Amino acid sequence: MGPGAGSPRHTSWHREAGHFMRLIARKRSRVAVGLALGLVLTVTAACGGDSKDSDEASTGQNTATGTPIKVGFFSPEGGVNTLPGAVAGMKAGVSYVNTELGGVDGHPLEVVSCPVDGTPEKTISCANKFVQDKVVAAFDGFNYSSSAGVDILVDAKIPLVGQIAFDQITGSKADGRVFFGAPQASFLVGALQGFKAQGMTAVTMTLVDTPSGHNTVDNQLKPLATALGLKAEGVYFSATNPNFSALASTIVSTKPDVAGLVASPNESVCTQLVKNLRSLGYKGGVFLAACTGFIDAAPKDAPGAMMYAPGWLPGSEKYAPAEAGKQLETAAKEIKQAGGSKDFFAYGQFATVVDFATGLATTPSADGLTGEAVLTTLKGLKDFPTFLGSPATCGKPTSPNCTTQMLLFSVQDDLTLKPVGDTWIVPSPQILSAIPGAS
Amino acid sequence: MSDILQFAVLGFSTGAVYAVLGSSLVSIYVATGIINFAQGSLALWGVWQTAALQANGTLVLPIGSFKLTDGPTDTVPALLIGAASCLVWAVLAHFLVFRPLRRAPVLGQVVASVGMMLLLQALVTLRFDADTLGLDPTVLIPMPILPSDTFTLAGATIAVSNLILAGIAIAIAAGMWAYLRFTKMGTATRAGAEDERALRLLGYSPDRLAALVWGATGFVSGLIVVLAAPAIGGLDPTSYMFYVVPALSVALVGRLTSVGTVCAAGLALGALQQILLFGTTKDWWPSWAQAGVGDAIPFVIVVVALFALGRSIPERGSAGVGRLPRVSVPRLRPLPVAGAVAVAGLVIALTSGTWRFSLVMSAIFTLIAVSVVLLTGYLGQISLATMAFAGAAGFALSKLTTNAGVPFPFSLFLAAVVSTLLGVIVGVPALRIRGAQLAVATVAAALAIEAFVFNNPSLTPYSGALIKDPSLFGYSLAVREGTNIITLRFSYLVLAVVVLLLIAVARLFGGATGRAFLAVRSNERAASSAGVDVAATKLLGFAIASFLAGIGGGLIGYSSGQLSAASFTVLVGLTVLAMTYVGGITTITGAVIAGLAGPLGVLYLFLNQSLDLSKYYTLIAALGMLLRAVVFPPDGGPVQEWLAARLPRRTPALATGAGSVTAGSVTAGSVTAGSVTAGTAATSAGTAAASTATAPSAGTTDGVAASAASAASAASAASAASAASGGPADSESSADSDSVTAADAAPSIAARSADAR
Amino acid sequence: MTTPTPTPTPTPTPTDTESPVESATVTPTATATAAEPALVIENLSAGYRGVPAIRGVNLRVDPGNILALLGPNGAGKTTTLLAAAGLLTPLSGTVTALGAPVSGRVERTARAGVSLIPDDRGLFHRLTVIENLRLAGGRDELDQALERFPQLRPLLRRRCGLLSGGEQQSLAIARTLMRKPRVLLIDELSMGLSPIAIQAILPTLRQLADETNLAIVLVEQHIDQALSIADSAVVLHHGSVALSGPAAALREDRQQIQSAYFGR
Repeated sequence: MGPGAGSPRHTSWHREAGHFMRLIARKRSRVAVGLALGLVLTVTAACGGDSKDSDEASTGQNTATGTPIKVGFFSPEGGVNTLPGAVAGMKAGVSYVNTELGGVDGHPLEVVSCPVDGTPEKTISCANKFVQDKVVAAFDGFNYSSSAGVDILVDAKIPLVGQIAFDQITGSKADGRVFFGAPQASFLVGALQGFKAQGMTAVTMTLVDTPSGHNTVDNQLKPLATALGLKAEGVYFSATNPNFSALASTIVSTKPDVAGLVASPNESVCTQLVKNLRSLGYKGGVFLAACTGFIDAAPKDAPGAMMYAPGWLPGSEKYAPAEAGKQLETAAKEIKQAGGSKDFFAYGQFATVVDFATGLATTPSADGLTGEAVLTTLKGLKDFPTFLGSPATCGKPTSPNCTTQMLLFSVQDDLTLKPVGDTWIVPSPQILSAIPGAS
Repeated sequence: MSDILQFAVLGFSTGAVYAVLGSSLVSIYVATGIINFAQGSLALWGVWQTAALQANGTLVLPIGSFKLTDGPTDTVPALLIGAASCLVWAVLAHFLVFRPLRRAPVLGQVVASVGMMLLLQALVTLRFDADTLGLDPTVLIPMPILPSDTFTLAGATIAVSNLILAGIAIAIAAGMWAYLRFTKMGTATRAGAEDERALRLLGYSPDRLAALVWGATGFVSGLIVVLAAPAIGGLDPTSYMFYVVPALSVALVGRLTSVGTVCAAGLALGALQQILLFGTTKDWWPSWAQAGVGDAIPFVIVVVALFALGRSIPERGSAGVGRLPRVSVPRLRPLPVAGAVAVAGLVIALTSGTWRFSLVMSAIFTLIAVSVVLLTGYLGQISLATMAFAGAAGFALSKLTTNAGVPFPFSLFLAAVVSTLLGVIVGVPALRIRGAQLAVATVAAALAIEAFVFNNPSLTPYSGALIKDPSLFGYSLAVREGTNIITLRFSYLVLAVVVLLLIAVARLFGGATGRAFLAVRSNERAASSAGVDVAATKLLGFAIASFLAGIGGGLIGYSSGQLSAASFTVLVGLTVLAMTYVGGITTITGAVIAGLAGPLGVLYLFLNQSLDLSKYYTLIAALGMLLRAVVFPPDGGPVQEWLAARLPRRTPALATGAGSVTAGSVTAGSVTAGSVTAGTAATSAGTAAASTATAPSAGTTDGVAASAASAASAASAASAASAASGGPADSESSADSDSVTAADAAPSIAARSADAR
Repeated sequence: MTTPTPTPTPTPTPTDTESPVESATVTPTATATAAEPALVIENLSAGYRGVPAIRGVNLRVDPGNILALLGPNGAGKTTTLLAAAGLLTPLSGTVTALGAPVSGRVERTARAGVSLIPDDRGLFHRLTVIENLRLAGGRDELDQALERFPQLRPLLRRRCGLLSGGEQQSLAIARTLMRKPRVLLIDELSMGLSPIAIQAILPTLRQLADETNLAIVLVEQHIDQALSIADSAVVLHHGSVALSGPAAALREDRQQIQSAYFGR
């Protein structure tokens, strides 16, 4: 039983040839499409190079009338590391500078805001955009991945400006960056000194299980504690898979005098930890990095908990000097107007913007400002009074920070914040020198 | 000893989650044959929903929200509503995504499941925000629901809630087991796992049985996670999504059949992880093992389980598995290729700044996507570890350039060699497992690499993983120069490397190796009988794919001067797979499309800058995956068939009479026999069933021998047919030219099988 | 195509459960009218991926009749059965079972009373015999089935995959009968069975057709044995009907069948 008649191969060759012709025709159309796409892209690139987000965050009358000073802002608005407080703080700060302070020498600040979400890709993308938009400074916004973009800014001679460098790698070098607050190590050392002053000698800190977390324990916590005569332990928790009750138990099993977080990825972690620690009956000291949300979320567990800050925080008015008290009021008002809440990051970002503006105002002329000039001016600040912070002396060759002083707050029974030692803690410079970028 | 007991019990909270998620995975696998990567994400929605209700009574929907109660909702209703929301999502997923994919190839099911996972995670991030909730989502914590009493036993402090969680997990697992074992519907569900068609013939609807299982497992998954959340962790938008990996590992230990084993294994895993955590605080604990041990254990379990038990994990006997995506063997003609390269070079030169940067990054991701095309599209191995390979090479590059001072281009090459070695190691399990199980193993491998390599402090110095700029003979090829964020030199370097490798890959696809890959993809047993060394081919595929990914990773490193582990996470790897699938997983064109859509690529820039839709990137990626997998599958789905029916078709050459009817039907039989998915059919005992399932008209006497012989020729017939029809892009017209060329090829095949009789 | 010889006027088939002993003594019952066929296939073309494997097939089975569907390999017998069961959507033509068109949903067709025993028997090898049976009906139907097939009683707890071919065949039929089908389609009942086993099962089918007015379409390779119990026969060749007629007539004329098998 044979299949069809005739030799099949001849007919199939002819058909193959026909298909081949159609194939080329189709491929040709694909090439045409590809070319068209390329052209569209080129045109878009040529025309659409301008920045889209120029944010004029003025809630009042803009009294500054000179040519605007363009600054970039790594806005922490997406993903896991969202910090709405910082966004509000930026908006409030810029508005305050432009309306109350008359800008920088009459030049208003103009913000190019670029959302970041903690991934290196977004940071790189925003850094590139800032270079392209020719900003003269870029605000860090407590970005955990700022190191991905800092080299781009350094090469383009655009200074990175912030309060505290949350990315350890960024904080380890001085070139091209200015941080008005103290280095991360300061907070750790200062806290340890504060613990010692209260007679707490066994310290257990918990951190996220990442290289920087391990670095902090191995290269900072342990040697610093040893230098101060304290005993320190590190316990790690998984970023994706944390089990806080188990973590609290592990911590308690090491029998510490004070336990807690060196750095917290978010407020929720702090609150969870303090609740779990207290529910185990743990009566020792609790240290909660820079968190403040737990005071409202867990008021019963809050008294006795400690946290660090680079400056005065809302709640500490009772114990702050008069000038700082007034500044707290101003900040509170402006931040509220910008829609923010009484949040560590809101106040921190606000202070940074104000410091930037007032610091930059010391320059002889703010006309035709370049990134280089901004950097030089800021690095030249000496004993400069900062907003809610300690006096700033920038320009250290090995550290991007302008101070090493910090405050260690202890939550009182009435939920106010009292600084341990009643004033600024100066971390021992000798100890700080062991950490790259800390001094 | 009391410490061990205490920490073991502490581990019951996560262990209960593993146990219930794992049991749910098993039940879903029994009911549908699908491995649901989205099981954790389902529960994620429920946790957030309950937390929102408990905070201020807000009920959040995918679109819109409303206040269910004035002020915080009571605990029990909040719990039930949270779990019910997971049930709703699960049932929706069944109806809209997984039921249409019942007969789809495994890759389509995996992509859809991953798409679901990303979709839910993206939705959680977007929907549970300050605007919808009326409060700052970062202060939300899961409120405790179970009693917080503790008691002391043998010196250990035992929390009652952990025991309750373990008890609930056991009860849920027991319920599932009893349903499957004793009830008529449960028995029918199990029967359907074996032979769906036979179940239908008895009047049962496997889809309805599956819907029941989806709903029930969705509910209990949400329930257990909401109950365990206060003890486990905070509310961040990702963590619970990844619980699916340890859940998968214990599901595999239970051979995807035994719910009881899974439950026990889950509780044991949770206990073990906490005991290990406790151990890390001890002085005698080795410091290299301090990082990521808890996350690496599931991978070890997965590999061991698959090696030891792989053969006894049942494959699903569906009635007719779908076609594999059509492969278009690329034809390299010098003029069009040169033209394309010239256009690319021109566009790069004409653009600048962020757009040129995005083009260069797109080129790099095209290379990584080609790695996926080679491994998954051509060789048919579903691997989710591509970015892990890229990252490993990147970190190796950092060490090579900064510590060892190796110059470019040797540095790049050596870095890729490192990733190749890693790829071969990961490829070894692939010799024994396939399909969705291989996907699971590669996810676990990627997580282990992430944990042990990327996050290993001894490998990552304090100042970050820096990479020295490349230079050739003193001529700097650095990516940046002052305010020029992307130099022309670097761009052309990347273009040159990528184009060279793409050409090499295209030549490979068109040659004997490419044919061997396709043969292994189609039917491993047939390929083996046709003389292909299946094991060597698979390892070669893994090696080449990881080499390509490694070059890509190195280039990513050079493009920014430093490397961050966050660029190479499993999530990014899943997104790359998804993009490549959407673009077309069997063609280099598809890889180019995926590259355009990749992180920091052209589409990314477009979304970020021109449209300001950056926060929707993950959502768009997830929707793209789902649409591609469900509505426009690469192997032709309802939409394409609808279109094909509407367009004028040339009828196949059957008008010549009864003789050609046989030819046509024999062809239909042998061509489809050749493209039966290796993943699920190859291991079935009745290999005759594999060929007769799709080609009964070929006659039962065809049997194994003829199908083996025709499979090999069918693989080349299929590729010849698709090459002649010009590739997958136009599926409507290829449908008709397919049948014509099939009929042309038929006489030779018919002659061959006539001889075989 | 010739119509099969009409059966005596039928009376309504009992649809509720009855003990098998009772129905054995009852004279052949009938459906409402003699003219209402159980299965009608008209001008059916069906196949795979748009390529027809059968074209223009017509056949008809009345209640209580057995139709033998014969033909060489690749003729389209299984395709016809699949289309009749609703597993294949016809390319053209119609399939009507029990007065209603066969829907594309095979479950619905199965529930409507059309049962197919496929060539692989459709048993669940990993389940036990009793689990297989329980999927098809309740307690009473189970008892009935065990009455009719007592050889299954000692095998109830055994995994179906461990049964012999003959035992599996009995199980397949027993299970299908539990569902009380009105149309029974059987694909290669005798595959893998010894001739003696075949001889044992076929008369049971005849008895079922006579007693319960079940319409049966039987695809068979054992031509003589199939024709011995069938009322009518259809021979397919290369997808079309080559020969059809009453079984009695075809039994006599081997020559005709042979030429139909090997092509004119």
